[in-house]
Amino acid sequence: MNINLNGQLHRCASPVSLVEFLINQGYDLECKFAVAINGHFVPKSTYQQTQLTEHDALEIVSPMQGG
Amino acid sequence: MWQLADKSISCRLLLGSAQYPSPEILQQAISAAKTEVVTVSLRRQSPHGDGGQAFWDMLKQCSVDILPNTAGCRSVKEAVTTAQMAREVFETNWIKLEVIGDDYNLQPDPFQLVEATRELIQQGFEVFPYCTDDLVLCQRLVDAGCRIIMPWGAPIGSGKGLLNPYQLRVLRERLGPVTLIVDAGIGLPSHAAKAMEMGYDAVLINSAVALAGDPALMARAFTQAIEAGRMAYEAQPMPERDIARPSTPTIGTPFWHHSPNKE
Repeated sequence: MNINLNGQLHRCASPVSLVEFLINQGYDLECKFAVAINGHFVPKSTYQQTQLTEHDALEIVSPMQGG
Repeated sequence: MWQLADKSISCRLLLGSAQYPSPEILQQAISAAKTEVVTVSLRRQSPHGDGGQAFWDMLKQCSVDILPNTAGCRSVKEAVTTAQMAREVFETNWIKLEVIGDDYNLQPDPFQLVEATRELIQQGFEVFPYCTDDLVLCQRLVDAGCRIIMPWGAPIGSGKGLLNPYQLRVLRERLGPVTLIVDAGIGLPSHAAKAMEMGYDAVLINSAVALAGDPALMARAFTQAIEAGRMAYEAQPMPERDIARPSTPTIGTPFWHHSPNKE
């Protein structure tokens, strides 16, 4: 299955939940970040039950300096 | 003390956290300004980077309130999704809403700004809209439920000061008790003082402090100018006149002032 993560294509096994995908990619779930799939925000409380599907586009963002 | 949304705070300078030479200098500027509100943003996180955790840990040490922005958003959908992500990451319902409509001067898109504001207020956000100084736009934002309006003084990062003081004055007169904050374009403490003398509640500054030769010293200069401007507003300045009027009383002026020929 192809997943677009922050603009880059990643191949992964199917089916896969969001939480499995994040762990496989090396994200530390304790760190500050937020996720959107196909432009829609995904609350942290729903990572476990969110299933990824072919060609999903994930945006993962974390704190940065801003004006 | 003054009221910003549901918080009572002292300092009327809101400080941006971008473009500082180092995190240490940002910390020094926050401390020198005595600011209580700092703006932040979100960026893509790679799995093996520190994910902004170090920046977040540093900000937590500063004991300031966080105002996340939606910088870089160009549509209602992008802005709403970014605001939702910011609410989760920063654990606040405050959002500095930016929906950019033009890349040349980074002017906000007024139409999408109002639409995004309505959506976010419905979702329980406290929206701080970055907007132009158009009166009708600002009224629409207030109608949508904004308690705070943040018109630009000049384009972001330009340092040009208050390009349209007349319009900013009109906003102060027409928008009643709404909290007004000049958000962008300020380059010097005197620009900030001018906004405060008009009755603005606060000023949000980033580039003018971050890009100064000595950011911490400039942060202090801004705080003092903002305090001076606010005091001047509260002291009710004298009305401006077109003709001179002597400040020294004329009654009892010595005789030689009345003589046409002193010899």
